[in-house]
Amino acid sequence: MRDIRKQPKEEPGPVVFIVDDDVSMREALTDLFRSVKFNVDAFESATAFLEAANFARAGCMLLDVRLPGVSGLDFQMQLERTGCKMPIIFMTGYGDIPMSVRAMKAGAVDFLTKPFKDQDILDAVSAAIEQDAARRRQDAQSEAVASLAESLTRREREVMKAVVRGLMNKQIAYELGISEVTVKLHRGNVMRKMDVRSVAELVRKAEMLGANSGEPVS
Amino acid sequence: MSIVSNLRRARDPDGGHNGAFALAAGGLAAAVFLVDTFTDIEGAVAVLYVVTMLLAAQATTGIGLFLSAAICGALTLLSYAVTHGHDADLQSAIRLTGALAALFVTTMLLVKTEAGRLHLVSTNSALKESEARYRSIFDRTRVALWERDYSKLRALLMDMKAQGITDIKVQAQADPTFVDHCVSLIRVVAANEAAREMLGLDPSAGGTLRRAIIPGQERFLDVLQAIMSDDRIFEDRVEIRTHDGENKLVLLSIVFPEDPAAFNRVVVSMVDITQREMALKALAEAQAELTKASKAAMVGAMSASLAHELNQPLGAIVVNAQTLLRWLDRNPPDLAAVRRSAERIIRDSQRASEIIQNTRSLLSPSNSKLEPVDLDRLLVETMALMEHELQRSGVALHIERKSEVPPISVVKIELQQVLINLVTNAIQAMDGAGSREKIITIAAGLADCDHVYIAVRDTGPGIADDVRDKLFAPFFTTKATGMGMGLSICRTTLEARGGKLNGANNADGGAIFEMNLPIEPEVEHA
Repeated sequence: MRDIRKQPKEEPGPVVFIVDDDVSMREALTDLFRSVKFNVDAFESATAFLEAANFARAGCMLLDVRLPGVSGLDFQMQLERTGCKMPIIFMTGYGDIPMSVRAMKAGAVDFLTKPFKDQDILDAVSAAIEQDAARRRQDAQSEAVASLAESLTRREREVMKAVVRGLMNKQIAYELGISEVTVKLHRGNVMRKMDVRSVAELVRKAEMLGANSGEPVS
Repeated sequence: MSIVSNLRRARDPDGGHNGAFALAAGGLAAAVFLVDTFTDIEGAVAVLYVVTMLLAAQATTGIGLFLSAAICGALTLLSYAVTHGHDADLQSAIRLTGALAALFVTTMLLVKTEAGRLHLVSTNSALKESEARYRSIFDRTRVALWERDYSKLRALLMDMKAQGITDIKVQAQADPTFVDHCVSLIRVVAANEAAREMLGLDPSAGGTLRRAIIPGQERFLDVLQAIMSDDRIFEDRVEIRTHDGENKLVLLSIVFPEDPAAFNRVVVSMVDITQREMALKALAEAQAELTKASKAAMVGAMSASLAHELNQPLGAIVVNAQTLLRWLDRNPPDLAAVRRSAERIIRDSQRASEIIQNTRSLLSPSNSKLEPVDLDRLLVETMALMEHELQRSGVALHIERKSEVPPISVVKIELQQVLINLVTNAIQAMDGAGSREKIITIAAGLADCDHVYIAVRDTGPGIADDVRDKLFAPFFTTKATGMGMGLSICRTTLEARGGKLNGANNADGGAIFEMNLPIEPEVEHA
């Protein structure tokens, strides 16, 4: 059952997604976040969330560990597999250390034991939203770099990797079996296409690329 | 010669005596023969051989008698041949025949008497043996035994009966000395070792008996009543006082003879069942303790669920109260929102209080009285308590009512306990086996016009063949942390109310536990 007083989806800004099977808790949390002008969307189950939530939106999730049907931890893994990187804050009715360890290892940003102080949960949510925003910024940058790297030719990519490794033009020419003049030419193209002005800048973007694509840079 | 000695031995031990008789018989036979053969006495001298036979009978038996008769016959014939060989006449022939006939008849009579005597002897010795056996059993057995003479008492009671007195109790009330008088009429004929140990060293004294029956005087009146109404057997549990003043519970059993004349030796037995009764009582107490413990254990098992259950409204109350303050702190305060928060706080507080109430009623020991219960409502209410356990394990629960069921008379908490136990077992069985589809179906309906059934069915692995027989045995468990008391207590609980509990496997997989309960239990057991 969706909460009747949840925020309309069109409103900009991050959303706090609440998944808790207990109606009292759902309503209380919804009201709390509304009082501090957060967007809230509450769901009674994992299934309801997967069916109806726009989880591509920026924000974070407050997830009850005990859920009907599927446990909160299983749901966390399920979300990860679908590529949802939303930060998750777990809520539990009773302190369970093994469970919280598992949750934190699986990437939960926080683990709160009910009943909690409003300030604690607001802080946790703010931190999670900030983390999500940072990740989104980073993702956006990586994506931009990746699309720049797309335009590089195979030879230009080889030259870029060599430059990043710190080789001089002469060494690159020797390693790739081409003339130093050609290396200079490729190098100029790489700097232009990757939109950088210094080798240091190129190294940073290449790292981002490597981290993003999974290919080793050096 | 050897025959003779054999024959002699048969009559032993008084062999010397027999020898004298044999000698006398032989001498007499010889004398008769001499007189018969060599004197001219005209008469049936040979008839005197009869006396020989009578003497021989004292010395020999059976074949010996026949042998003696044959010798006597032969001597008679020999004498006849010697004396009347040439001039046999009718008179002498008749004498001969008479003598032989007398000899024959005497022999036959002697043989018959002998057989009768032998029979009597063997019967007598069997009787002696039986008496000795009885004596040895009487003396050696650990059962306290008396032989008592009830004949005077019986005579008194029969007199009273003839006078129209039939109720001993009324008589005992009317006459305070009546019991004492009756006791004084009983005489102890014999008592064995165990009896002496039980009632004292001198059980023959009337005082012993009088003291022994003090705590069980009512039962003594029952014994009198039994004699009066010609009962054959009296058996009952009776409290007696031993010689050292201790009260003991014994099983008293008296077998009255059919023949009134035999009332002078009535066998009375007492078996001390104090220990057994105490053990039974201790067992019942232990069982009650265990039931209480298992109830606590059940609540313990549900405590995680209860804590979670309680934490939800409490957590919500905290958040609501904090939010309420935030709405109040606004400038201007959002009073409509404050109101909504307050209303939610009230609602959640009530919910928390209901949860506590339910748990308390589940634990309360005072609620053990029968009350009419609507089965549908009970099932729904009980399963609400289990909701979190069911949810956590992802079990779907169906309640099916197969037929219209009237309110049944049960102890609500007991039935709830059994249901929770069975459902918990089903959940654990399905969890343990990692069943893909977890469904518990509770079906209820009329079994017959006096009974209802409640069946709890799961989709777990079912009951393994090797555990089926032990399923309800105490301390039997298939769980690593189980105590093995759950099903045992469930069954005991239901049986105490005249119900039944059985477990089996479903045709299409999973286990099924079926309760059968009387709609109206006949007797309320404590």
